[in-house]
Amino acid sequence: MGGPESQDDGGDSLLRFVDVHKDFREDGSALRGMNLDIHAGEFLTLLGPSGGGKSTALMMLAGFDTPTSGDILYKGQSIANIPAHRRNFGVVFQTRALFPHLTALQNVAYPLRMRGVSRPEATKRAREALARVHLSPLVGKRPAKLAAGEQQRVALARVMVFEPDVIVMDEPLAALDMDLAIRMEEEIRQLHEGLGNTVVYATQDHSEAIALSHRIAIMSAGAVQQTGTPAALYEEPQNAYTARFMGETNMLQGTVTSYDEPLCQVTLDTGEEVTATAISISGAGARTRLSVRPERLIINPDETQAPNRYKARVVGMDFRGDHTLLHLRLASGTHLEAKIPNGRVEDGFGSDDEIEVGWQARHCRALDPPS
Amino acid sequence: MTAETIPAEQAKPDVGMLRRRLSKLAHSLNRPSRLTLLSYALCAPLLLLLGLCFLLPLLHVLHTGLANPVIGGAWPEFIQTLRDDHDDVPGEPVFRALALEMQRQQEDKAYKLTLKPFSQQDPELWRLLQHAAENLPPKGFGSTKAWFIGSDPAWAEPDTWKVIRRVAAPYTTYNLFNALDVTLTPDGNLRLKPTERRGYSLVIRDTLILGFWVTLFALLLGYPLAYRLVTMRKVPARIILSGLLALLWTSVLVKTYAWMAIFDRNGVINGMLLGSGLIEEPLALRPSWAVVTVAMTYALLPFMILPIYQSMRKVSLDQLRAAVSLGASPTRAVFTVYLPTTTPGIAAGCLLVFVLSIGYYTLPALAAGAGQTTISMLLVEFAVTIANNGMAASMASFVLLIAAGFYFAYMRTFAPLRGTITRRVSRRRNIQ
Repeated sequence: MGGPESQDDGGDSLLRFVDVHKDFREDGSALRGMNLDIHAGEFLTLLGPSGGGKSTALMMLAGFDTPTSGDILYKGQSIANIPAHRRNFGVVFQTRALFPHLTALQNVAYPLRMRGVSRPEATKRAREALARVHLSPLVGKRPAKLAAGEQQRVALARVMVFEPDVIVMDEPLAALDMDLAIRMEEEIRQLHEGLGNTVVYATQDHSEAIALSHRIAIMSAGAVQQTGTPAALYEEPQNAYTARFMGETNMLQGTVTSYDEPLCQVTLDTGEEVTATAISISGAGARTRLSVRPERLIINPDETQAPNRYKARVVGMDFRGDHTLLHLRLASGTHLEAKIPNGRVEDGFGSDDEIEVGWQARHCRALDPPS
Repeated sequence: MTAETIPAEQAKPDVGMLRRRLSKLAHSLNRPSRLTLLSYALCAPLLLLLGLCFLLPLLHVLHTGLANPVIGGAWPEFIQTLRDDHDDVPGEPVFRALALEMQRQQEDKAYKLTLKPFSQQDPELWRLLQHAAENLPPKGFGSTKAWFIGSDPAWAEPDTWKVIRRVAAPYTTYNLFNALDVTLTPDGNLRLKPTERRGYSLVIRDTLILGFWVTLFALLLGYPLAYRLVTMRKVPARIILSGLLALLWTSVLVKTYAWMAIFDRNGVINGMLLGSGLIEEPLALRPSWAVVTVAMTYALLPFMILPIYQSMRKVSLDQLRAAVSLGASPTRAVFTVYLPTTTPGIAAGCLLVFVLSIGYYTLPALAAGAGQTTISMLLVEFAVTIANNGMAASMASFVLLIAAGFYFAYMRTFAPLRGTITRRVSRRRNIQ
């Protein structure tokens, strides 16, 4: 079920997945009709849960696997049956996959040596690449003596050094500590900005995807659900899956009572009447899920701020550093979460207080019904 | 603050307490005394066992190989005084002790037995000593030394005493050199024995050649087999691995007789060849080096497969994929990544098989033909049949030396690739 935005671009694409299917693999993942365009020079992230088909897609892109049906095009030419070592694509693995018997320098020089570059020249360029990832003092060390982050930087240098046409990164930060992952994120972004390669990246972490990517393709069940810029996917999800995967959201189920483009009226299963923006509903009488991000909830709004206003009770307050998460319960029992910037918490209310909560219709999106 | 924030505040002191406890624990772990003492105490029985049952016998064997037992027991007074005297030609007390010891042995003619090692070293010296023993100086003769020199001026020669000192020394390299078919001339040079008197060195050579072939065949069979095991599904791989272990648990005798039955005159191979009409008469396949090589390769194969299997399991599919994505053709990826990464396993397997094969006894002893001898067969011959403990110990020392040599070569080459675990542990300790 390719989302409406998955073929949004008429521009030339460098890489194109055309209805790619891959039947059962040993780890259970599969592709069921993947369509995706990737532009030259862009940083595109496949975001989705494990088993959603990200890895399968990347392994086929790198040339380790072939599609059961469909095609993968590079500059308009099918590459589905070109072996990996003739593709000139670089791959960064979650496991780093460094060669344990070679030093960092030899590891980085490896792709150059395989391309027939002379030893002194390869060594010189490998040194430069390692300097770019700030590893100059460790060039003579074997991978076993390097820390996890250093190993991943060697893996990055090893891929950059031969200037591949496309760099494929399969969850390169998944095995790292959070601190380290955030620093590596910054490093990957800088490297991409400096080199301008096309990068196809896979991750399960939406904040990582948002921080790194030009565009994100949400993948689940072996297909692309929606593609778009991080902001578009976060603020304007086209389906409930995307809305939930891109960040925390309040998901409310209800039935459409009236439909008047672009708005619609929804009666929640718990009784409240809500005005929402119609996104993917078939018409009046249809079931739908409403998505409102917690930071879009307004506490004690005035009339102009929010057409949707409800009495609620504060049942819990979680201090989260830069914001506080309020747990609210409407009279009908519906549970809502609201994020309040911490500057706003002191004034006025605390636990068990009766308040009013509301939101604007454009922040409340009526999406596809629960299956 | 409202009541709702209280859980967060309560959590804080808990974290602080936990941290304090952890740092306390870390501190106590850093104090070496009690913990180290305890760990040594726990290891003590093992260390004791190791010392008593491994180091002590080992040292004893090395000592026996070098000890000089023949003269050591006889003429104790003479040997003691000779060792205390460091002149080229010793003084009066040594000559007197010699005369005294000879006199003591005169009655039962035991001196002839004592003189034997001298005759092995130098027939001329033996003649000299025998002459002295039969014409001992009369009682009351002034200087014994003068009498000896008077009876033969050779007693005043430093060379004579050099040889005597060598025979009377507590240690001798005679056995060691003899095991290599090398003799030590009186002037201290090493000389290879004439061809027709060589034997021990040929046995050592044959054993090393046998070890080489067994190792080579085990590697050629074991490497592909280990690869198949790694790429196989878990359950069949486990069944084959336990089969390999069962091979280790089977008695050597059973394995040997099985192979002997196969290669026998009326055995499986001859039966098949006769049945297919390829030969008219049964072949004499046994006894021969071929049977020994085949049977030993079979018996030692697990020692080759298991380390290689382990090293292959460490190579991830991603490493091979990385090599290919970096531009190596699949063949090149095997030679530049797979083979080098599994080299430590290959080396460990070869080391194990080679060292075990040069010490193998039962199989060659039962399956080898006449004149086909290995070091361990010779060793048993010396230790049990001839009761020449010195030569047996020397032979054993050579096996040990060869094994140790290969082991150190292995460690020097592959230690830098290993040892990452200990380094990681020590780094972790530094953090605390």
